[in-house]
This record gives sequence, C-alpha cells and structure tokens, in this order.
Amino acid sequence: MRRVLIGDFGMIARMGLRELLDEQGVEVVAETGGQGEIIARLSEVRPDVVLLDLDDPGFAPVAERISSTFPAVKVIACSSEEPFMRIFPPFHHGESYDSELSAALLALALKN
Amino acid sequence: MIEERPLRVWIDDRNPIFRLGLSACLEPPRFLVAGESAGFVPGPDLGRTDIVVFELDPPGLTTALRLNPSQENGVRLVAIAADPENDLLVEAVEAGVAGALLRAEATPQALLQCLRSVAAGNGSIPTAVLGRLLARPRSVGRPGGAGELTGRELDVLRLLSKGQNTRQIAEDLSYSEKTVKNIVHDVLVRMNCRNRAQAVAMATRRGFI
Repeated sequence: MRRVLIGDFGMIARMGLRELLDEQGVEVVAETGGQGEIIARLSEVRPDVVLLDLDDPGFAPVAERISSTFPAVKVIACSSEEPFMRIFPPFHHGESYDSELSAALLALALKN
Repeated sequence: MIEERPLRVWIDDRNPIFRLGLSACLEPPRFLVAGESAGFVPGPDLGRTDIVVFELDPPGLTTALRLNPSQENGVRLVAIAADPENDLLVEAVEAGVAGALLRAEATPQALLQCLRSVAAGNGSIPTAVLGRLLARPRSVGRPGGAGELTGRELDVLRLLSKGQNTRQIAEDLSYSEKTVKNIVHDVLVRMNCRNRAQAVAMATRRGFI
C-alpha cells in the first residue's frame, strides 16, 4: 500500500485529492500546511509519494530538496488550475517530466 | 420547518482535482451531484440539473449561456473565475450568470452559500466584482453584454460581418483607418475575443448585430 503525504493545497483541491486517494485505496499519512513543514515531516512519516501544489511557486525548491535528501520518495506536483502535473520519479536526481492530469493518470502515477 | 427540495448541481472544470473537490463539497440531501464535465464535455443533462457550476473561460461562458439561464425554471449558472480583474467575469454577470466565485478564494462554505443564494433566486457575486460592475458606465443595449459596446463599435462590427476590411470601413463611416483599427482593438478587448472573426461570430450569436 502506498503511503502519501499531501502538501499545502487550497481547501477544494485538497478535498478533491482526498476523494481521489480514497477511491484508489491510498493511505494519506500526513497533510501539511506550508512547504517548509513538509521536509520536517518527511523523516518522521516516511511516505512513498509526496504531493505538492504546482501552482505554488515555492514547490520547486521543495521538490529539489526531497529528491536530494530522500531519493526514494516520488514527488508529484499537481496544478489545481490547469489539468497538468509534473512528476519527479524516485532516484532520478530531481529530473522530472510533465504530464496531462486526469484522475486515471494521477492514480497510475501514485501506484507505479 | 419547510422541507427543502434537493438541488442538483452539475460541475464543469477541466482540472480533475478541483472538479472532484467541488463535487465533494456538495452535501446530500440538500445538494446532489447531477454530473461532471471538463470543458462541457459531456454537456449537462438539463432535465436533471438545477444549477451549473462552470469554469469561466471564453468558450465555457459561450456554452453556459446557450443553456438559457434567463428562462424561467431554466438552469441557473455559477461561474468560477481564475482572475477577478478579467472583464469576462463582468460580462458573465451582465449576461445572466447568477453566481460567481473566485477560484483562489473558493472554500466549501463559500460554494454552498453561493449555491443556496442562487437557488433562492438571488445573485451571489464577490464584492470585488460587484464594485467593478457598479462602477461601469452602462450604455443602451440588450442584456447579454452588448450594453458595453458603443454605437460606433456596433457599426464597425456590422461592417466587419459583411466582410469589409479596415479601409472599406473607414470609407463607409468617414473615419481614418487608424480610428477603425482602434475601435476594432477596443471591441476585441471588451468582448474578450482573439480576432475579428471571433468577435463577429460572438456578436452575431448574441444578437448584438
């Protein structure tokens, strides 16, 4: 079972993410407020995947930090405006690829 | 206490997370999800929908207004706008959109309050947008947004729709070509259109010309 940490999202996007993760049977191990809190919680809750808000300009340094300090963690940055996400696969030194965002694609990205 | 009938709400948004979140805000039995779409694909099932909540962009607004929100017992519209400064939101409200929310400020409480207000037959418009609406000079025109176009802008649109170019329009109306270009530019900005063809199409569809 995948363990997911949800970063700082708007209230409605957060509800949408919870619905989606629930449907997929994914366990949400933590929901954090600000981007700074995420790093602090990572070593404690040990998630497999971290979801970040792509619309927040602060996501990039956090994604970079996770990739270097916790290379086994996958980072998925989702926009809640455009149907778009950026995926940082584990053990790829912070390299990323962009993808269309649909419920099915996000579910796939969470599981693989 | 009066039993309130359930309100069936259709949710349209291209972002799946936000769309799912909006649906999740709707608490039964008062609110039911009539269906969901992205960019109005699939189109709302009007027979089973009381309110359509949609993402405000030019094609979304055009499609939403075709659902006949002004008709009695017709569907009521709630627009979710990304940018409060955009004239599209003012146009939407003038064209009969009953409720509006700003994407960045949308919360479950704000959405439900907006839906209740719209269902009761009232409008629900963010204060910032209301201010812009009131501050706006209104000229003569039909409801549907033509009120924002002046007589000479409508004249230019009419000639454009006949296929005339800038020079011909300038000659017909005894303006300089530069004036015609300026008028066309203002029309495009105000109607939120990318080019002359789109402006003519929209003006025709809405019955401005």
